[in-house]
Amino acid sequence: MRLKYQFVVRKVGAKIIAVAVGKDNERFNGMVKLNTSGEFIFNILNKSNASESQIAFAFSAQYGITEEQAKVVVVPFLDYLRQRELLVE
Amino acid sequence: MVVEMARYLLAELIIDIHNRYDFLERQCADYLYNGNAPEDFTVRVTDVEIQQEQTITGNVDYDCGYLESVCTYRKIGMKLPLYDAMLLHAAVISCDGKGIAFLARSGVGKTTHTLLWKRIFQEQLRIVNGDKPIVRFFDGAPYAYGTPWAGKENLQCNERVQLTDICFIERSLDNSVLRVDPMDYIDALMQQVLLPSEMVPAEKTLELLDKMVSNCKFWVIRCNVCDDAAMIAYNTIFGDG
Repeated sequence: MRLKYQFVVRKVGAKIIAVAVGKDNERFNGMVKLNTSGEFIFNILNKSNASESQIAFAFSAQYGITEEQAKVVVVPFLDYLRQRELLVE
Repeated sequence: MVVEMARYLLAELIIDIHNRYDFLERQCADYLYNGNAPEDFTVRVTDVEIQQEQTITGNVDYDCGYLESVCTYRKIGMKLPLYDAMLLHAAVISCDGKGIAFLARSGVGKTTHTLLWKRIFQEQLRIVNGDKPIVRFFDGAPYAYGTPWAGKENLQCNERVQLTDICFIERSLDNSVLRVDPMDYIDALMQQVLLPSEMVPAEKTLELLDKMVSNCKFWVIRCNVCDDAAMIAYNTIFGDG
């Protein structure tokens, strides 16, 4: 899976904001607010295709937790992106 | 059709604007640049872009000169982040040492509120730009500049003011002013900023917004159209120290 649009991601004040760029700027005219763990996952999907288990593996390595523990964060976040129709699977 | 070119100074940037219609020349007359320095960048609008603008607005009655002007300012806005600047949809006033921006969705009444302030404070107050100022950052601090693009009332002057306060205007029967956390209004702020579609200027715009959030106080002004609205807002903003 990957993100449906190309985003730039940056901290603005206390929030991490993602906005679509290029032609996607017209198709997705909005922004996504992220926390730090969401930003980590979002950046993986913004750069390349990745499966749920690949993301969980990367997340577990980043935060020093097991893949099972990582999935507790990764799976709901991917569901959130699906609900907002931001994922291509 | 003859294409003219003139050099303008906007937000301390030297910009060459190529125009096909007289509208732009008349509109920008106060901002002509007569110095010898080279341009920072050049803007020209094609007939196709004017036609596209006509389609977007859905009104074929708009004058081509007006549409050329709209397209020109948007193109300028897309380049601004590369010069630590951006376009903000707001009315900005300069009053007693502060630069105060009033932000609202179109039609809510930011011009009405701005004119209330002007009616009360008269010569104490300058309307820098009534609709779309350029905000440029120096050493992290935001400065709002007058530009020729200032809404149908053309409320503007060729000056700059350091932006100190950002106020979101909301209609209300009563008047009140609240200091707010900018993070609670980040969506509203983002909606009033021209976000370029290209990656580098878009990223830069977010960086500039971060500086704006760090350097300005944020307020919500809930107001009606009585003079009290401006007085209460002034007393609260200036009483805050």
